[in-house]
Amino acid sequence: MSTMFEFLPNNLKSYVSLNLGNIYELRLRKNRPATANIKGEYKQVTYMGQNVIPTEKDIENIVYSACENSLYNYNESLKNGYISMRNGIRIGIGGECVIEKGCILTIKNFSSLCIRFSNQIIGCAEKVYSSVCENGVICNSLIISPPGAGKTTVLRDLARLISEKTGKNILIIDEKYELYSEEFSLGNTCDVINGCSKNFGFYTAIKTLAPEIIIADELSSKQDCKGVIFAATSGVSVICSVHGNSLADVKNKGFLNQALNQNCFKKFILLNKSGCNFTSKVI
Amino acid sequence: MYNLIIAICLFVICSGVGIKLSQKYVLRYDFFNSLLSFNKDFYSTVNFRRDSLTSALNKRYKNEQFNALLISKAKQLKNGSNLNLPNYLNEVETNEIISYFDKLGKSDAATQTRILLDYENVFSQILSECNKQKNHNGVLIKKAGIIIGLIAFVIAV
Repeated sequence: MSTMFEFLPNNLKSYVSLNLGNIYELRLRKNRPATANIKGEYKQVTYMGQNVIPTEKDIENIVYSACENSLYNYNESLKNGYISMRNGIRIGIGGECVIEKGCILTIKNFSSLCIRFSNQIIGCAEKVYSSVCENGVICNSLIISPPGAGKTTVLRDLARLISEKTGKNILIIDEKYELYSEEFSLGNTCDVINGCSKNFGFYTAIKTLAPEIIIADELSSKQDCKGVIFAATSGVSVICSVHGNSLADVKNKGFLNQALNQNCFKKFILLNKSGCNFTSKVI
Repeated sequence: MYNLIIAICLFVICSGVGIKLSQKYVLRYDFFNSLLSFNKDFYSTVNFRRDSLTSALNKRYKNEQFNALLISKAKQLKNGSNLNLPNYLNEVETNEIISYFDKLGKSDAATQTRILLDYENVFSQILSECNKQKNHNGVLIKKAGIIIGLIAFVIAV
Protein backbone atom coordinates (compact mmCIF):
# COMPACT_ATOMS: atom_id res chain seq x y z
CA MET A 1 0.00 0.00 0.00
CA SER A 2 2.82 2.42 0.87
CA THR A 3 4.16 2.16 -2.69
CA MET A 4 0.90 3.81 -3.84
CA PHE A 5 2.11 7.08 -2.33
CA GLU A 6 5.73 6.95 -3.47
CA PHE A 7 5.09 10.03 -5.59
CA LEU A 8 4.52 12.17 -2.48
CA PRO A 9 7.27 13.76 -0.38
CA ASN A 10 7.83 12.16 3.05
CA ASN A 11 5.73 14.67 5.05
CA LEU A 12 2.66 14.21 2.85
CA LYS A 13 3.23 10.47 2.50
CA SER A 14 3.21 10.17 6.27
CA TYR A 15 0.01 12.25 6.60
CA VAL A 16 -1.79 10.25 3.91
CA SER A 17 -0.70 6.93 5.39
CA LEU A 18 -1.99 8.00 8.82
CA ASN A 19 -5.39 8.87 7.32
CA LEU A 20 -5.59 5.95 4.93
CA GLY A 21 -9.17 5.04 4.08
CA ASN A 22 -10.53 8.35 5.38
CA ILE A 23 -8.75 10.76 3.07
CA TYR A 24 -10.63 11.62 -0.12
CA GLU A 25 -8.62 14.50 -1.44
CA LEU A 26 -5.39 16.40 -0.91
CA ARG A 27 -5.12 19.99 -2.12
CA LEU A 28 -1.71 21.52 -2.63
CA ARG A 29 -1.23 25.13 -3.62
CA LYS A 30 2.13 26.81 -4.16
CA ASN A 31 3.30 28.50 -0.94
CA ARG A 32 -0.08 28.00 0.72
CA PRO A 33 -0.93 25.54 3.52
CA ALA A 34 -1.93 22.14 2.17
CA THR A 35 -5.44 20.93 2.99
CA ALA A 36 -7.00 17.49 2.99
CA ASN A 37 -10.57 16.29 2.72
CA ILE A 38 -10.95 13.84 5.58
CA LYS A 39 -14.34 12.12 5.56
CA GLY A 40 -15.91 15.08 3.77
CA GLU A 41 -14.34 17.79 5.93
CA TYR A 42 -11.39 19.98 4.87
CA LYS A 43 -8.50 20.12 7.36
CA GLN A 44 -5.03 21.64 7.23
CA VAL A 45 -2.30 19.12 6.63
CA THR A 46 0.27 19.04 9.42
CA TYR A 47 3.53 17.18 9.86
CA MET A 48 5.27 17.09 13.24
CA GLY A 49 2.97 19.83 14.49
CA GLN A 50 3.71 22.19 11.58
CA ASN A 51 1.50 23.11 8.64
CA VAL A 52 2.76 21.63 5.39
CA ILE A 53 3.37 24.41 2.85
CA PRO A 54 4.44 23.03 -0.53
CA THR A 55 6.83 25.02 -2.73
CA GLU A 56 6.71 25.19 -6.53
CA LYS A 57 9.59 22.68 -6.63
CA ASP A 58 7.66 20.28 -4.36
CA ILE A 59 4.64 20.46 -6.66
CA GLU A 60 6.81 19.95 -9.75
CA ASN A 61 8.50 16.92 -8.15
CA ILE A 62 5.11 15.41 -7.28
CA VAL A 63 3.94 15.83 -10.88
CA TYR A 64 7.10 14.22 -12.32
CA SER A 65 6.99 11.37 -9.81
CA ALA A 66 3.29 10.80 -10.45
CA CYS A 67 4.19 10.56 -14.14
CA GLU A 68 6.76 7.88 -13.20
CA ASN A 69 9.35 10.40 -14.44
CA SER A 70 8.04 9.59 -17.91
CA LEU A 71 6.21 12.66 -19.16
CA TYR A 72 6.04 11.12 -22.66
CA ASN A 73 3.47 8.68 -21.25
CA TYR A 74 1.31 11.27 -19.56
CA ASN A 75 1.45 14.41 -21.70
CA GLU A 76 -1.86 13.64 -23.42
CA SER A 77 -3.70 13.63 -20.08
CA LEU A 78 -1.53 16.49 -18.77
CA LYS A 79 -2.82 18.58 -21.68
CA ASN A 80 -6.33 17.94 -20.33
CA GLY A 81 -5.27 19.14 -16.89
CA TYR A 82 -4.91 15.89 -15.01
CA ILE A 83 -2.81 12.81 -14.45
CA SER A 84 -4.45 9.46 -13.75
CA MET A 85 -2.17 7.10 -11.95
CA ARG A 86 -2.49 3.34 -12.46
CA ASN A 87 -3.66 2.84 -8.87
CA GLY A 88 -6.83 4.92 -9.22
CA ILE A 89 -5.34 8.17 -7.89
CA ARG A 90 -6.20 11.17 -10.04
CA ILE A 91 -4.32 14.45 -9.88
CA GLY A 92 -5.92 17.63 -11.22
CA ILE A 93 -3.28 20.18 -12.17
CA GLY A 94 -3.30 23.96 -12.13
CA GLY A 95 -0.53 25.81 -13.94
CA GLU A 96 0.41 27.71 -17.07
CA CYS A 97 -0.74 26.25 -20.39
CA VAL A 98 1.77 26.20 -23.25
CA ILE A 99 -0.17 26.91 -26.44
CA GLU A 100 0.87 26.56 -30.06
CA LYS A 101 -1.47 27.29 -32.98
CA GLY A 102 -4.44 27.30 -30.62
CA CYS A 103 -3.68 23.86 -29.19
CA ILE A 104 -2.38 23.12 -25.72
CA LEU A 105 1.06 21.53 -25.94
CA THR A 106 1.47 20.95 -22.23
CA ILE A 107 1.16 22.57 -18.81
CA LYS A 108 4.18 24.10 -17.09
CA ASN A 109 4.91 26.12 -13.92
CA PHE A 110 2.55 23.95 -11.88
CA SER A 111 0.91 26.00 -9.14
CA SER A 112 -1.70 23.73 -7.60
CA LEU A 113 -2.68 20.09 -7.37
CA CYS A 114 -5.90 18.39 -6.40
CA ILE A 115 -4.99 14.79 -5.56
CA ARG A 116 -8.04 12.55 -5.34
CA PHE A 117 -7.72 9.15 -3.73
CA SER A 118 -10.05 6.42 -4.80
CA ASN A 119 -11.72 4.33 -2.13
CA GLN A 120 -13.77 1.21 -2.23
CA ILE A 121 -16.78 1.39 0.06
CA ILE A 122 -18.28 -2.08 0.02
CA GLY A 123 -22.06 -1.90 -0.04
CA CYS A 124 -22.38 1.83 -0.81
CA ALA A 125 -24.26 1.03 -4.04
CA GLU A 126 -26.84 -1.37 -2.55
CA LYS A 127 -29.62 1.19 -2.92
CA VAL A 128 -28.57 2.13 -6.44
CA TYR A 129 -28.42 -1.57 -7.34
CA SER A 130 -31.99 -2.12 -6.21
CA SER A 131 -33.00 0.86 -8.36
CA VAL A 132 -31.26 -0.27 -11.56
CA CYS A 133 -32.17 -3.95 -11.24
CA GLU A 134 -35.76 -4.78 -12.13
CA ASN A 135 -36.72 -8.47 -11.84
CA GLY A 136 -33.12 -9.47 -12.39
CA VAL A 137 -32.76 -7.27 -15.47
CA ILE A 138 -30.26 -4.43 -15.37
CA CYS A 139 -31.88 -1.28 -16.79
CA ASN A 140 -29.99 1.31 -18.76
CA SER A 141 -29.25 3.91 -16.12
CA LEU A 142 -27.66 7.31 -15.84
CA ILE A 143 -26.19 8.37 -12.52
CA ILE A 144 -26.15 12.14 -12.11
CA SER A 145 -24.12 13.89 -9.45
CA PRO A 146 -21.95 16.95 -8.85
CA PRO A 147 -18.14 16.48 -8.75
CA GLY A 148 -16.86 14.81 -5.60
CA ALA A 149 -20.19 13.23 -4.69
CA GLY A 150 -18.96 9.69 -5.19
CA LYS A 151 -20.02 8.69 -8.71
CA THR A 152 -16.93 6.63 -9.30
CA THR A 153 -17.07 4.95 -5.87
CA VAL A 154 -20.73 4.04 -6.42
CA LEU A 155 -20.09 2.76 -9.97
CA ARG A 156 -17.21 0.62 -8.68
CA ASP A 157 -19.40 -0.95 -5.99
CA LEU A 158 -22.28 -1.30 -8.43
CA ALA A 159 -20.02 -3.30 -10.76
CA ARG A 160 -19.09 -5.58 -7.86
CA LEU A 161 -22.74 -6.03 -6.82
CA ILE A 162 -23.97 -6.77 -10.33
CA SER A 163 -21.13 -9.22 -10.88
CA GLU A 164 -21.75 -11.02 -7.59
CA LYS A 165 -25.56 -11.03 -7.76
CA THR A 166 -26.21 -11.67 -11.44
CA GLY A 167 -22.97 -13.24 -12.69
CA LYS A 168 -23.38 -11.32 -15.95
CA ASN A 169 -20.40 -10.29 -18.07
CA ILE A 170 -19.61 -6.67 -17.34
CA LEU A 171 -17.32 -4.43 -19.32
CA ILE A 172 -15.85 -1.49 -17.45
CA ILE A 173 -14.61 1.30 -19.68
CA ASP A 174 -12.06 3.02 -17.48
CA GLU A 175 -10.80 5.90 -19.59
CA LYS A 176 -9.00 7.71 -16.78
CA TYR A 177 -7.71 4.76 -14.72
CA GLU A 178 -10.11 5.68 -11.89
CA LEU A 179 -12.61 2.86 -11.71
CA TYR A 180 -10.30 -0.09 -11.64
CA SER A 181 -7.24 -0.79 -9.54
CA GLU A 182 -5.75 -4.11 -8.47
CA GLU A 183 -6.49 -3.08 -4.89
CA PHE A 184 -10.24 -3.17 -5.52
CA SER A 185 -12.57 -6.12 -5.80
CA LEU A 186 -14.90 -5.79 -8.79
CA GLY A 187 -16.28 -9.31 -8.84
CA ASN A 188 -15.27 -12.21 -11.05
CA THR A 189 -17.16 -11.36 -14.21
CA CYS A 190 -15.76 -7.90 -14.97
CA ASP A 191 -13.55 -7.12 -17.95
CA VAL A 192 -11.74 -3.81 -17.83
CA ILE A 193 -10.27 -1.75 -20.62
CA ASN A 194 -8.37 1.25 -19.40
CA GLY A 195 -6.67 4.20 -20.96
CA CYS A 196 -8.76 4.13 -24.15
CA SER A 197 -11.50 6.53 -25.20
CA LYS A 198 -15.10 5.57 -24.39
CA ASN A 199 -15.65 5.58 -28.12
CA PHE A 200 -13.22 2.70 -28.56
CA GLY A 201 -14.77 0.91 -25.59
CA PHE A 202 -18.33 1.13 -26.82
CA TYR A 203 -17.67 0.30 -30.48
CA THR A 204 -14.79 -2.15 -30.38
CA ALA A 205 -15.14 -3.93 -27.04
CA ILE A 206 -18.79 -4.80 -27.68
CA LYS A 207 -17.59 -6.89 -30.61
CA THR A 208 -14.49 -8.35 -28.97
CA LEU A 209 -15.50 -8.86 -25.33
CA ALA A 210 -19.24 -9.53 -25.79
CA PRO A 211 -20.40 -7.82 -22.60
CA GLU A 212 -23.95 -7.98 -21.28
CA ILE A 213 -23.53 -4.78 -19.28
CA ILE A 214 -21.25 -1.80 -19.88
CA ILE A 215 -20.27 0.58 -17.11
CA ALA A 216 -18.61 3.89 -18.00
CA ASP A 217 -17.77 6.92 -15.89
CA GLU A 218 -18.27 10.61 -16.71
CA LEU A 219 -19.91 10.92 -20.13
CA SER A 220 -18.78 14.26 -21.49
CA SER A 221 -19.10 14.47 -25.27
CA LYS A 222 -21.33 13.73 -28.25
CA GLN A 223 -18.97 10.88 -29.16
CA ASP A 224 -19.66 9.32 -25.75
CA CYS A 225 -23.41 9.77 -26.38
CA LYS A 226 -23.15 7.99 -29.76
CA GLY A 227 -21.35 5.13 -28.03
CA VAL A 228 -24.14 4.84 -25.47
CA ILE A 229 -26.76 4.75 -28.25
CA PHE A 230 -24.74 2.11 -30.13
CA ALA A 231 -24.50 -0.06 -27.01
CA ALA A 232 -28.13 0.44 -25.98
CA THR A 233 -29.32 -0.49 -29.46
CA SER A 234 -27.00 -3.51 -29.55
CA GLY A 235 -28.79 -5.24 -26.71
CA VAL A 236 -26.24 -4.31 -24.07
CA SER A 237 -27.30 -2.70 -20.78
CA VAL A 238 -25.49 0.55 -20.11
CA ILE A 239 -24.81 2.23 -16.78
CA CYS A 240 -23.07 5.57 -17.01
CA SER A 241 -22.45 8.64 -14.90
CA VAL A 242 -22.50 12.32 -15.74
CA HIS A 243 -21.83 15.56 -13.85
CA GLY A 244 -24.85 17.60 -12.80
CA ASN A 245 -27.22 18.52 -10.00
CA SER A 246 -30.40 17.49 -11.78
CA LEU A 247 -31.77 15.94 -14.98
CA ALA A 248 -32.38 19.50 -16.21
CA ASP A 249 -28.64 20.20 -15.90
CA VAL A 250 -27.89 17.17 -18.05
CA LYS A 251 -30.47 18.23 -20.67
CA ASN A 252 -29.01 21.74 -20.72
CA LYS A 253 -25.56 20.39 -21.49
CA GLY A 254 -26.93 19.15 -24.79
CA PHE A 255 -24.43 16.44 -25.66
CA LEU A 256 -26.66 13.68 -24.26
CA ASN A 257 -29.89 14.92 -25.89
CA GLN A 258 -29.84 12.35 -28.68
CA ALA A 259 -29.61 9.51 -26.15
CA LEU A 260 -32.31 11.11 -24.00
CA ASN A 261 -34.61 11.63 -27.01
CA GLN A 262 -34.19 8.01 -28.04
CA ASN A 263 -35.03 6.92 -24.46
CA CYS A 264 -31.73 5.11 -24.11
CA PHE A 265 -31.84 5.49 -20.35
CA LYS A 266 -34.68 4.02 -18.34
CA LYS A 267 -33.48 5.09 -14.90
CA PHE A 268 -31.99 8.38 -13.78
CA ILE A 269 -30.37 8.34 -10.37
CA LEU A 270 -29.42 11.55 -8.62
CA LEU A 271 -26.50 11.00 -6.30
CA ASN A 272 -25.51 13.21 -3.41
CA LYS A 273 -23.05 12.90 -0.64
CA SER A 274 -23.21 14.37 2.81
CA GLY A 275 -20.01 13.72 4.73
CA CYS A 276 -19.18 10.12 3.95
CA ASN A 277 -22.77 9.00 3.32
CA PHE A 278 -24.23 8.57 -0.14
CA THR A 279 -27.85 9.34 -0.88
CA SER A 280 -29.47 8.33 -4.14
CA LYS A 281 -32.83 9.23 -5.60
CA VAL A 282 -34.49 7.78 -8.69
CA ILE A 283 -35.94 10.61 -10.80
CA MET B 1 68.10 -19.00 -9.93
CA TYR B 2 67.15 -15.84 -8.04
CA ASN B 3 67.78 -13.76 -11.16
CA LEU B 4 65.44 -15.92 -13.19
CA ILE B 5 62.64 -15.63 -10.65
CA ILE B 6 63.08 -11.81 -10.48
CA ALA B 7 63.18 -11.63 -14.30
CA ILE B 8 59.95 -13.61 -14.60
CA CYS B 9 58.31 -11.42 -11.94
CA LEU B 10 59.39 -8.25 -13.76
CA PHE B 11 58.05 -9.60 -17.05
CA VAL B 12 54.71 -10.54 -15.49
CA ILE B 13 54.37 -7.17 -13.67
CA CYS B 14 55.25 -5.04 -16.72
CA SER B 15 52.99 -7.03 -19.03
CA GLY B 16 50.20 -6.95 -16.43
CA VAL B 17 50.49 -3.18 -16.03
CA GLY B 18 50.41 -2.78 -19.83
CA ILE B 19 47.34 -4.98 -20.18
CA LYS B 20 45.63 -3.27 -17.22
CA LEU B 21 46.26 0.21 -18.68
CA SER B 22 44.99 -0.88 -22.09
CA GLN B 23 41.79 -2.18 -20.42
CA LYS B 24 40.71 1.42 -19.86
CA TYR B 25 40.20 1.78 -23.63
CA VAL B 26 38.25 -1.47 -23.85
CA LEU B 27 36.04 -0.40 -20.93
CA ARG B 28 35.43 3.03 -22.45
CA TYR B 29 34.41 1.37 -25.71
CA ASP B 30 32.09 -1.06 -23.89
CA PHE B 31 30.63 1.77 -21.82
CA PHE B 32 29.63 3.85 -24.84
CA ASN B 33 28.49 0.75 -26.68
CA SER B 34 26.14 -0.01 -23.75
CA LEU B 35 25.04 3.63 -23.65
CA LEU B 36 24.13 3.49 -27.35
CA SER B 37 22.22 0.23 -26.82
CA PHE B 38 20.31 1.84 -23.94
CA ASN B 39 19.57 4.87 -26.11
CA LYS B 40 18.16 2.61 -28.86
CA ASP B 41 16.09 0.60 -26.36
CA PHE B 42 14.73 3.76 -24.80
CA TYR B 43 13.87 5.10 -28.25
CA SER B 44 11.65 2.08 -28.86
CA THR B 45 10.21 2.41 -25.34
CA VAL B 46 9.19 6.01 -26.01
CA ASN B 47 7.85 5.29 -29.48
CA PHE B 48 6.17 1.96 -29.01
CA ARG B 49 5.94 0.19 -25.64
CA ARG B 50 5.62 3.38 -23.60
CA ASP B 51 7.08 1.76 -20.48
CA SER B 52 8.23 4.06 -17.74
CA LEU B 53 11.76 5.45 -17.47
CA THR B 54 12.20 3.43 -14.28
CA SER B 55 11.58 0.14 -16.08
CA ALA B 56 14.01 1.21 -18.83
CA LEU B 57 16.63 1.86 -16.12
CA ASN B 58 16.08 -1.64 -14.74
CA LYS B 59 17.50 -3.25 -17.89
CA ARG B 60 21.11 -4.44 -17.76
CA TYR B 61 23.85 -4.12 -20.39
CA LYS B 62 27.32 -5.55 -21.11
CA ASN B 63 29.34 -2.89 -19.26
CA GLU B 64 29.12 -3.15 -15.46
CA GLN B 65 29.96 0.53 -14.90
CA PHE B 66 27.16 1.51 -17.23
CA ASN B 67 24.80 -0.71 -15.22
CA ALA B 68 26.01 1.06 -12.07
CA LEU B 69 25.19 4.37 -13.77
CA LEU B 70 21.63 3.15 -14.51
CA ILE B 71 21.20 2.08 -10.88
CA SER B 72 22.45 5.48 -9.67
CA LYS B 73 20.03 7.25 -12.04
CA ALA B 74 17.14 5.20 -10.60
CA LYS B 75 18.28 6.24 -7.10
CA GLN B 76 18.56 9.86 -8.23
CA LEU B 77 14.91 9.79 -9.32
CA LYS B 78 13.94 8.66 -5.82
CA ASN B 79 16.17 10.74 -3.59
CA GLY B 80 18.07 13.22 -5.75
CA SER B 81 21.49 11.58 -5.24
CA ASN B 82 24.36 12.06 -7.72
CA LEU B 83 25.04 9.94 -10.78
CA ASN B 84 27.75 7.32 -10.46
CA LEU B 85 30.09 7.87 -13.43
CA PRO B 86 33.31 5.93 -14.17
CA ASN B 87 36.57 7.87 -13.81
CA TYR B 88 37.83 7.02 -17.31
CA LEU B 89 35.45 9.53 -18.87
CA ASN B 90 36.79 12.99 -19.67
CA GLU B 91 35.04 16.20 -18.60
CA VAL B 92 33.20 16.72 -21.90
CA GLU B 93 31.90 13.14 -21.93
CA THR B 94 30.86 13.39 -18.28
CA ASN B 95 28.89 16.59 -18.94
CA GLU B 96 27.24 15.08 -22.04
CA ILE B 97 26.12 12.02 -20.08
CA ILE B 98 24.82 14.07 -17.12
CA SER B 99 22.90 16.32 -19.51
CA TYR B 100 21.54 13.26 -21.40
CA PHE B 101 20.22 11.54 -18.29
CA ASP B 102 18.81 14.82 -17.01
CA LYS B 103 16.64 15.13 -20.12
CA LEU B 104 15.22 11.60 -20.09
CA GLY B 105 11.49 11.43 -19.45
CA LYS B 106 11.01 15.17 -19.07
CA SER B 107 9.16 15.92 -22.29
CA ASP B 108 6.53 14.52 -24.63
CA ALA B 109 7.21 11.60 -26.98
CA ALA B 110 8.04 13.76 -30.04
CA THR B 111 10.57 15.86 -28.13
CA GLN B 112 12.07 12.80 -26.44
CA THR B 113 12.49 11.18 -29.85
CA ARG B 114 14.37 14.23 -31.18
CA ILE B 115 16.59 14.30 -28.09
CA LEU B 116 17.37 10.58 -28.37
CA LEU B 117 18.25 10.87 -32.06
CA ASP B 118 20.53 13.86 -31.37
CA TYR B 119 22.32 11.98 -28.63
CA GLU B 120 22.62 8.89 -30.82
CA ASN B 121 24.79 10.97 -33.16
CA VAL B 122 26.83 12.38 -30.29
CA PHE B 123 27.42 8.99 -28.69
CA SER B 124 28.11 7.28 -32.04
CA GLN B 125 30.92 9.78 -32.69
CA ILE B 126 32.36 9.19 -29.22
CA LEU B 127 32.08 5.42 -29.74
CA SER B 128 33.91 5.59 -33.03
CA GLU B 129 36.64 7.69 -31.34
CA CYS B 130 36.78 5.11 -28.51
CA ASN B 131 37.14 2.33 -31.06
CA LYS B 132 40.08 4.10 -32.68
CA GLN B 133 41.73 4.68 -29.30
CA LYS B 134 41.11 1.06 -28.29
CA ASN B 135 42.69 -0.24 -31.51
CA HIS B 136 45.59 2.23 -31.46
CA ASN B 137 46.45 3.34 -27.91
CA GLY B 138 45.10 0.20 -26.26
CA VAL B 139 47.10 -2.18 -28.41
CA LEU B 140 50.16 0.10 -28.23
CA ILE B 141 50.15 0.21 -24.42
CA LYS B 142 49.63 -3.53 -24.19
CA LYS B 143 52.57 -4.16 -26.58
CA ALA B 144 54.72 -1.60 -24.73
CA GLY B 145 54.06 -3.34 -21.44
CA ILE B 146 55.06 -6.72 -22.88
CA ILE B 147 58.18 -5.28 -24.58
CA ILE B 148 59.27 -3.47 -21.39
CA GLY B 149 58.65 -6.71 -19.53
CA LEU B 150 60.84 -8.60 -22.01
CA ILE B 151 63.61 -5.99 -21.75
CA ALA B 152 63.41 -6.14 -17.95
CA PHE B 153 63.56 -9.94 -18.19
CA VAL B 154 66.67 -9.87 -20.37
CA ILE B 155 68.41 -7.29 -18.15
CA ALA B 156 67.56 -9.20 -14.99
CA VAL B 157 68.77 -12.52 -16.40
